[in-house]
Formats: sequence, C-alpha cells, structure tokens
Amino acid sequence: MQLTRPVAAALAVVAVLSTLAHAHEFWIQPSSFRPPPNTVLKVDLRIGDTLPGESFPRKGSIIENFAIHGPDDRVQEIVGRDAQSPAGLVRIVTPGVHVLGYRSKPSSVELEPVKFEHYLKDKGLEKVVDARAAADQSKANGREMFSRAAKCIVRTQDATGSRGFDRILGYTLELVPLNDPTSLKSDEPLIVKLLYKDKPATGLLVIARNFADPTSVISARTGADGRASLLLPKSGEWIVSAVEMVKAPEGLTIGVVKPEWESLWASLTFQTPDWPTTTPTTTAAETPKKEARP
Amino acid sequence: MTLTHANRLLAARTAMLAATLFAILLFVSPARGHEFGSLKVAATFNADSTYVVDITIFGEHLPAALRPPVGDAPRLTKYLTDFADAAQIDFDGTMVKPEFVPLAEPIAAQASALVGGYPPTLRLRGQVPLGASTFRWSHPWPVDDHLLNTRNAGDDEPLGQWISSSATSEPFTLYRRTPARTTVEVMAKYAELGFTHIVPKGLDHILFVLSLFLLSLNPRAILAQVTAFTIAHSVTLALSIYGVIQLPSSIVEPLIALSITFVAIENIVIKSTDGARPTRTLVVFIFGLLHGLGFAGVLTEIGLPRSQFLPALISFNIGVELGQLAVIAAAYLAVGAWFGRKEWYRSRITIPASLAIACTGLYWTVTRVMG
Repeated sequence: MQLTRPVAAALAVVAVLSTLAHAHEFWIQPSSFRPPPNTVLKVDLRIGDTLPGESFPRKGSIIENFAIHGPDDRVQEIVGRDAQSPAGLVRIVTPGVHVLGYRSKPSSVELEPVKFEHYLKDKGLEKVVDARAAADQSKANGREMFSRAAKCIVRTQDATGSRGFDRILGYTLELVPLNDPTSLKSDEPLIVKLLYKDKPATGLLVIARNFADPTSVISARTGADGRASLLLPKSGEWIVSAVEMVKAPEGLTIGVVKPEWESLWASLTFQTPDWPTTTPTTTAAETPKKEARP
Repeated sequence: MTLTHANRLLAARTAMLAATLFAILLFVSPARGHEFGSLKVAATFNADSTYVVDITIFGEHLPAALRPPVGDAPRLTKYLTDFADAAQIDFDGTMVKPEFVPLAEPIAAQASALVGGYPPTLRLRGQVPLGASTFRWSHPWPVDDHLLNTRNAGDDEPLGQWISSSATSEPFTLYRRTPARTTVEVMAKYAELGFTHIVPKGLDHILFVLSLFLLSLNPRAILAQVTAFTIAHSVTLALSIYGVIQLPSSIVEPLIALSITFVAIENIVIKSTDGARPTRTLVVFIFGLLHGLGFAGVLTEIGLPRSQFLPALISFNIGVELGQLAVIAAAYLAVGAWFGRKEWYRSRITIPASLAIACTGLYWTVTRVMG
C-alpha cells in the first residue's frame, strides 16, 4: 500500500522523537515546596522521560515505604486511596524542613537491546554496557528489575532552621544532600552524597534538572566519597537523580521477566530560595553527556 | 454489515495510520509505562449515553508472544483488532460488544501528547444500554496489573482502580446513568432499532426478503415464507442472546450472504407456484436461523437493558418484522401491483432481479470470507 501523507508525517515524527532520551525518572512532587503552617499537602508521584511527566496513581501493592519525616524526628505515613492521584495526602503541622520519602518494591521490564543500551548510556551506566559486551550480550534484550527511592524536601513558610534536611531514610540507593537545598545561595554548589547500601556509591552519574526549564540540565559523577557537586544555574524547583545497576539475584521471576539486572533509581526534589535572575558565571547548563565538576 | 469500497479504503488507511502511530509509541516511549503495568485503560461515560474506552498498551510488560509486532503495519493492525475484540465490557453484568476505532487523530496532537502523558493506542466506543447503572472491565489476555480510570463526563477526577492480571474490575457506578425507561419506552426504542436494522441498514436482509417476494405474488406463498423466516430468526436470536448458541460473525455473515444467493437462484430454477411448497418453506426456515444469528450480533453490539431484557428482545424482533413487511409492501407497490399479473412478470422481473440479487450475494460471500 502506498504511504498516505499522514503516515509519512507519522514516520517523520518517529524520526524526530526517536532521538529523545529513553530513561524514565520517578519523583515526588508536592502541591507546594513551601507550604504554609498547618497545611494538608498533596503528594503526587510522577513518572516520565521529561518534565513535567505524568502523575502516577497510588499503587499500594508496590509501596514499601511512603512517609514524611519531620524536623522533630516524627515519622508520619502518607495516606491515600489506591489508584488515585495524587498518591497521598499529609498534614504538616510542625514548622521546619520535612523530608518525604517513597520506596517501592521491585517491578520488572524487558527492553529491546537498542532501547536498553540507549538508556544505560543516558544514565551513565557504561559499566553495564561494557559488561554486556564482555558477555557477548549486547544484542540481547535487557531484562531488568527496578525499584524507586524518591525523596522530597519541603520547607514550611514559618521554618527557622534547616534541621533534618540531610535525613537518611535507609533506602538501598539514596541521595542525601549535604547542604540544605532549601536555603542554598546562588553561588553555593549543592553537594549531594549518593549512598548504595549505606556506603558511598562511586562513579555514578548524578543529574539535576530544573522543573521550569527542563533544558537546564547539569550533571556530575560521584567521587570516591560518593559526593557530587552541582552548581545550580538558576533558582526554582529541581530534581536530582541517579541510577545504579547491578546484577540481579539469580532465580528471580518478577511479573513475566526473569531479570538479569537490577536497577535502583534515586531522586531528590526540592525548591531553592528565589535568587536574583542573573546569568551564572561559573557553570553553564550542560547536557548529561557533558559532566560538570566531578 | 456491508462496507462500500470507499469505506474499506478509508478503513484500511485509518488502520495503517493507527498502526504507524502505535509504532511511534513503541519507539519513543519504551520505558515510561513501567509502573503502570502492561495496560492503561480510561473509560469515559458521556451525557448522551455513549461511552469511550481508551487503551494504552505497554508491550514490554506483556509475555513475549503477546507483544505488539514492530515494523509491520498490517500485523500491528491485526494485533490491535484482536486485542480490541478480546476486551470484555459489561453493563449490569451483560456483556456488550463495543466498536473498535483505529485512532487517526492529527499526528501533531498525538506527538504533543507525548510530553504530558501517553496518547491512547486504541479506542473502543459504544452506547450504554438503556437503564444501565454499572460498568465493568476485564481483558482475558495475561496482562499484569493495570490501571483502570473511570469517569462520568463532567467529573473533575477519574476514579481509578488497579486490576490484577485478567481479573474483572469492581463495578463503576454510572453517576449520570441513562434514566430508567418505562417498558413502553424501551419497547418503542428497541422496535425502532430492529426496524432500522432492516431499513435502511440491512441491505443483505432486504435482498433476502425481496427474493422471497420475487418468487410469487401469491399471498399464501409470501405468508408461508415470511412466517417460516420469522419463526426461525426469532428462535436463533433468542437462543443466541441467552448464550445457548453462539457462532462467530466470520462464519454467520458469509453464510447469510450465501443464503441470499441460494434463494435468488432458486427463484430462477423453480416455478412460481412452488412458493408455498414445504421444501421452499423449509429452505427459508433454515436460512432464517442464520439471519437470526446475524440479528443477535447486532443486538449484542447495542446491548439489552438487564431490567427489561425480554420486552426489549421481543420488541427488537417486532421491529425487524415491521422492517421486512415494509420491504415487501414497498416492492409490491413499486412492482407487484403494476406488473404482477403480466405474463412477462417472471421473465422480465423475477429472473433478472433474482439474477442480480444472486450475483450481489455471491460477491458479499466472497468479500466476507476474505475478511
């Protein structure tokens, strides 16, 4: 059959869109990063290749942990109705910095080799690309189990300190800010520490994206101490993320997949203070491929 | 149901476009659906009693044998059609057969939709049966957990539920359910549906009835044939609707077309005085059984109100009868009343018209067998 004009146009769209990143972020997006005192916060879980992504309804069967940790060390479960968006609601009473955390049970997926390797490179997981090549598996489908560890920092409008911003929730892969992103200065880099099983995760790519300007992306590799430094080029809402991938435990079947690899996805969302709109003098926006200060 | 050539061409192009769009989804969003499972289903119920079910398929989460084929538009189209056919939708516990719509929305809209969410892969739509108050969804394929969002038009937020594998969803209450009708209203509505299924929609049934008319103008002959046809299709319509017998439309529809050819040819080879003979009546009765299965297919698509099942079924049948009588009356007024007593009526009317009907039936038989 001869191609019709719409079909030809559709194929052209394929050509353009196929260049987009194939990785899928997962993050917590609250109704406000700076809630007023004694407010009910809507806690949305979002998923997507690009911001703003898509709302992911609450799925109780895969939630391992979904809670808010207050500055007074109080832990409160984030409640919600299954299959509804936003995924949770929580009342914030205590003034200060609160850390919201979501940890999922593993799910699985099987990706075609081209897509799988594309996403590995996109996430800086060249070590897995190399391992597959060494095992002569580059042309094989990527069978993967994955889990999420999303964190979010909110600062109440009546907060006076930063206590609790660096709270460690004990997730297998976890991003921990070493300076308070909610009181970050414009010339102050955000330092994050990436932990894998409570130990510094070395050589992993940490990527930061601005919500309002998704093209504003910077990245850095974690050093031997698990730290990465990110000089955010503008104020606003940000997501910082990282992915680790290791060999999956043998003999597992999740869904319809017998995973060969296990990926762990960590994210951290927050809002910086408002800075004057100036052109950053140090680090320009870079693509994930161009790594900023490791 | 008969498609014109133009309609078939349009359908083929639309299906091709839908398959291409699906290829886009497979290619550019391979990983976004992870947590959603293999499907995302969104059902909307409109104020005009229509419903739309949009389905997004995430192939990576299906067993390898059930994944959508990539790079082969005709196979993709067949895959989507099979997927749509397997979907199970019921209102108040009664299954309905929705219409499958290959999506052909503007490419630009589809592409932009990728930014904020997934465009649906395929769409099912139909009419909510009169008086229905609940909706349920399931898909028998071994899909994993998937999300079903249901919404009455005008609702701010959909009501979601995760469906485990191929389980049936919890019933969703149609908030703006179609108002409960009186029995008389239901019967009038279904009689109308039955009538319009013959005139003007049922060209194949019209030709069959015309064949019965053409053989003989003897009222006894016509009455014998129409009565046999009526009894037969009433039986199979009822048995099929109650689930006692079921035959796929891929078998029933070609046989209906073949029955038209058979009766028309018989008009040519037997005498007009044979119209009231038991053998002719028996043939018409047997073919009436087939046509009843065809009517049942249509009635399944429309759906029957659970609370008024029998009145709706009977009135639909009455509507069909009235449609057939209307065809015979029109044929009599147009031809029979004027030329029925002419010596040349058989040679110039019955035989040429029957020949044309036989050829048409044969053509439909072939096209329906070929799919």
